[in-house]
Amino acid sequence: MTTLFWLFGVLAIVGALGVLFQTHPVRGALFLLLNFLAIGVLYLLARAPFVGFVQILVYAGAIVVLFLVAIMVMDLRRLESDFDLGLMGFLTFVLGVAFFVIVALVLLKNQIPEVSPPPTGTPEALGEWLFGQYLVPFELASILLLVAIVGAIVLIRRRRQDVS
Amino acid sequence: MSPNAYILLGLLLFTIGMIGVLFRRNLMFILMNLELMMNAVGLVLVGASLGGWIEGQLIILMILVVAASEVAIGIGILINVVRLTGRPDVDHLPKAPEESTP
Repeated sequence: MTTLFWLFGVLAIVGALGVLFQTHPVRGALFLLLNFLAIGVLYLLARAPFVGFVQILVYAGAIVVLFLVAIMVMDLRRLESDFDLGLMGFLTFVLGVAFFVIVALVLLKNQIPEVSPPPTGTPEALGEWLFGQYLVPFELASILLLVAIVGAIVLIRRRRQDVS
Repeated sequence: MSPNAYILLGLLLFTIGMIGVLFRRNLMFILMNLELMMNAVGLVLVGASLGGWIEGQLIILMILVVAASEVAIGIGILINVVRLTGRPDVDHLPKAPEESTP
């Protein structure tokens, strides 16, 4: 269990660093896919089977494909000056490391104990929560998806004078 | 594994995504790094579920909905930027044109 956690944790970090430093869009999308798959396996290891499979279906199956289709449709190339190599780029790294160190120190001071046995997120258990106590957020999520569909169509639509 | 390992890994991935959002100029990669940040929050919530708070897994499902909506809208904005300027560079965005009456 521990070995698998570190193996897929390192894979997730490699995928994230690939997205951070890769300049070719297709290779970046494939590193993103590696990260999503590794995180899906980590969900499975943490007794969250339903969320793990939904992660692989939706993130790795739909969102990465959406990125790849966008790259294909628009014929994106790499930018010459993709990285912000100035004072601002340097300060970005300083800010990131400081954020990580501060939050990690707080976390290490306040360790969360593991309950035994930890709860398992089966579809039955999650469905009871989702259609019981959390029914209103569930319905609001469907409204959010509807708004996103309408918004995407309005954004992509060409105006009539642009076509001619 | 203990919840703390999951939360620390999520924190590390969130930091990488945050650096990427601020460091890159390509709008495509900024969107990808935003997805990394959302996944990192999912890892933290799974750690909380190992600590006994199983509703964390429900919130991951909600984050999934938000991420799907966000990537659809984000790619719409990206297509508009590429149409206007020919490249997905956030440092060379055009100024908003004055509204012309047809």
